[in-house]
Amino acid sequence: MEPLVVAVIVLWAIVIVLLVVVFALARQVGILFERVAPMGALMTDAGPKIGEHSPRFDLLTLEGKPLVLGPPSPKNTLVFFLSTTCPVCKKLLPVLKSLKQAEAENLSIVIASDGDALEHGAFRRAAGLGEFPYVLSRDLGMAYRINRLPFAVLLDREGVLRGKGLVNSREQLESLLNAQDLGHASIQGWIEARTGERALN
Amino acid sequence: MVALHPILIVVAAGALVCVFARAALHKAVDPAMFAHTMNGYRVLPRAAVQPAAFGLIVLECAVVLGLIVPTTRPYAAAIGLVLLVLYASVIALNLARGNDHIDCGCGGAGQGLSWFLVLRNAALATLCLVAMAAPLPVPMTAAAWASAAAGILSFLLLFAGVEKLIDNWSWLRASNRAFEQHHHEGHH
Repeated sequence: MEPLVVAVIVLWAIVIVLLVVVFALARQVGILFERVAPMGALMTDAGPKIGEHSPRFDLLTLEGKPLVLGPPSPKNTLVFFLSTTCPVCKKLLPVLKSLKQAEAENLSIVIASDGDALEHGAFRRAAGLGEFPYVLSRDLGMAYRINRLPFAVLLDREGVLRGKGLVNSREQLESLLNAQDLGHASIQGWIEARTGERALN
Repeated sequence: MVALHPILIVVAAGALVCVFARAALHKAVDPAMFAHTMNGYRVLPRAAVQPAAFGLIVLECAVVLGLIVPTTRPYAAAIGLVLLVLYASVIALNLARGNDHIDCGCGGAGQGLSWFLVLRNAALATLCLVAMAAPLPVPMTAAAWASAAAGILSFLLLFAGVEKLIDNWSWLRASNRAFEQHHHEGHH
């Protein structure tokens, strides 16, 4: 074989391996963003923005009771999007239950998903989610651009979007609520603001 | 018309086949979501969105099939070019209108719009131009086919890597925006 041919074969192999490495690195950065990065509910910039009025939704719960998402609401509303097959969602269900008790006075929690009502009914019984309103709506998920689960959306009493993001852990779910208390869109906003203040001092 | 080495044309056509096949599949698997995404772009009246979505899926399939057959390749590449320019202009239009927080419909986590996407489409449009060129009368040897295969594979990996980086950047921008929003409020 000519040396040039050998060189080309070797170079192609190296190029392809390098490109695989680049892709893997980019993917890992993305995963870091989602999971390991500083606690806080990460946001994508698709969907309604923080501070915007959320569209109003007239929904039916699994039992067929009407449920309105939107103003005026007596409490803040946390909409938790899950699927029956997502392991992280199941991990967060106990957190949701304790949150419901701890924040009963000013937070109502709604569970949202889409798909087969029978399957979700069975999941709801199995997971002991009887006390949560449970809605199946494709439109709701599409309006908030939910592509990855579990995802949480926080609305205030006036129906204004106060926080949203992927929640992969208890800390992220809590930070979404803390962000509301602190008046920041996300915990990253709070951390960066603190860092900025310190730099100024 | 410019004549190019057949390896270049095969690489361009092969890469475009994969890109368009993925795009068509992604749209066909979830047409309701695609129609919803198109609504977000606010260019068509609501009633026209469903038929237009169907039309785009059909066109993309036609591009994929047409690119594979050498005789129809230039025509398929031309349709592909028109589609890419159309998508890029609609994205640019929405960027200019400031309507950039909608889902781009690129699949994945739901990234917003950015000029990177326009650039990406411009790069793909260049590939369409290459695929439209006439091949030089050079025989495609086994080594040439192997080279072309390696070229297609490299392109797809590069494309996937760049897309992932654009996606990551979209997340970064979202958290920066939240910070700026705070900063802005803090000074009032």
